Amino acid sequence: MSPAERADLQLRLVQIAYRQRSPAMDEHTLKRLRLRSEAILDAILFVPGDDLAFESRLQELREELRPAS
Amino acid sequence: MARVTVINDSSEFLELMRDLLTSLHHEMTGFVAVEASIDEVVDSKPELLVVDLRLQDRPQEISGWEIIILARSHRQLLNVPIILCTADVWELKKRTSDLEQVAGVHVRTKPFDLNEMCHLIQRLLGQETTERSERGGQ
Repeated sequence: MSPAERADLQLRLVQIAYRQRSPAMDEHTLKRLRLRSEAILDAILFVPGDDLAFESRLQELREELRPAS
Repeated sequence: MARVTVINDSSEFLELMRDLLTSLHHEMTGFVAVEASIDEVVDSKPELLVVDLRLQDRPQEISGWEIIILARSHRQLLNVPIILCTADVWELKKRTSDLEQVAGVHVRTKPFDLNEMCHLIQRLLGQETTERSERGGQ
């Protein structure tokens, strides 16, 4: 599996955990998953329940994590 | 190649695990629910079980915790390693002391680190060297 595919899978897992309202979606966990951007981290952490905002931030995150081709 | 059985009420999670396990060249059987006899789990002949702690409770179906207990008392599943994946941290805390009594259960909360999960899967299946050599070969 390529790094890009692995990053996509990781983001899908974050989406699933978000939908399941996992309390493990905390700052420490997200940083450990190398979701690096502070702004995006903050957005994810501060929009619980706002699905549209979450999906939008997730798309940014996907772009950020995708290795340059 | 090894056989891995994943039990999770989220079809989305099953799809994700199928992609992950396929990339590791393993064969996955997925169940969104399991009945108390766990015959279908036994029939899938798993070398590794990945179980969600909280499953939807319909009367004839059982929880992930019950699956673990039944697996550990079943002749054919007794020694099969189990990865317990859950987003339900509160239920997990309630089960901590119970889980400590059950051998071979590895707990990961969602969202877990996929790289670490891959290493854990390969280690439990005794295929860590294969994974490392494949990654080194990329």
